[in-house]
Amino acid sequence: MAFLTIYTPTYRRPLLLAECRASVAAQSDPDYQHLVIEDTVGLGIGGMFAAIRQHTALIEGEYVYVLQDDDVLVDREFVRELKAFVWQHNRPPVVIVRNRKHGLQPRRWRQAPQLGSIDLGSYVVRADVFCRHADQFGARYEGDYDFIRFLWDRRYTFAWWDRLVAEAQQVGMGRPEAA
Amino acid sequence: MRVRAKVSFAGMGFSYAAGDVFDLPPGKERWLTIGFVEPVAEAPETAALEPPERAEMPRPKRKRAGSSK
Repeated sequence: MAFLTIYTPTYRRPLLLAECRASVAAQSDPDYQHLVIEDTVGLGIGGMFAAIRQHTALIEGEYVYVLQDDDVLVDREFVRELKAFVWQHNRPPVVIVRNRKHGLQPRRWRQAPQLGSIDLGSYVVRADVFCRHADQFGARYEGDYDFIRFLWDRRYTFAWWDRLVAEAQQVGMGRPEAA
Repeated sequence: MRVRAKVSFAGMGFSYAAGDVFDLPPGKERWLTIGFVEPVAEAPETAALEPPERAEMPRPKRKRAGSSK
């Protein structure tokens, strides 16, 4: 069993995915599972959330972080430092982190998630909680907000780790790379 | 081509854990370039073993009949 499952849904973006994968492979702590979910149908954002819901049975990690194929981890110490953080904080169900997409996310810190102010790459979730509520990733564009807002409303404990974890290589809005 | 999964991955109709060895499905050659898989050397086919050649040993000289030595 790995400490962290890094969950990457992808659709026809091999060059971006290669960079994403390289940033994961460079981690100093190898205690992770990189789980790549290939959406071979291509249903856009809705397809990505559907893929997340469908493959939770493959998650082996104690925690789950969704790293989209057009994002990269910003440095090689993420897994090691995250492990230390969750142990210090008694294994919280949710860890809010920083990521950079349309500016720094989440825009509201230590406050309830708001639509448009938090991104899929802004949270790490304990695997049991992630799998139990993965159906909250609805088919709509804001499925990542729906999921984290559901956890907030259910009063799961949120830990706030003010650390930049990932950033977008480009803001692709789900578009595939040109052939 | 035989390949080994470098990451866990899944999609429509397939699912592999990191370390699994399998035949690369047709049309998935790009998995090699994006680091999903790496080639695995084919195990050499077992060659039909030829019996080792016998070393030529000098034949002992036959004693002549009646020889005292």
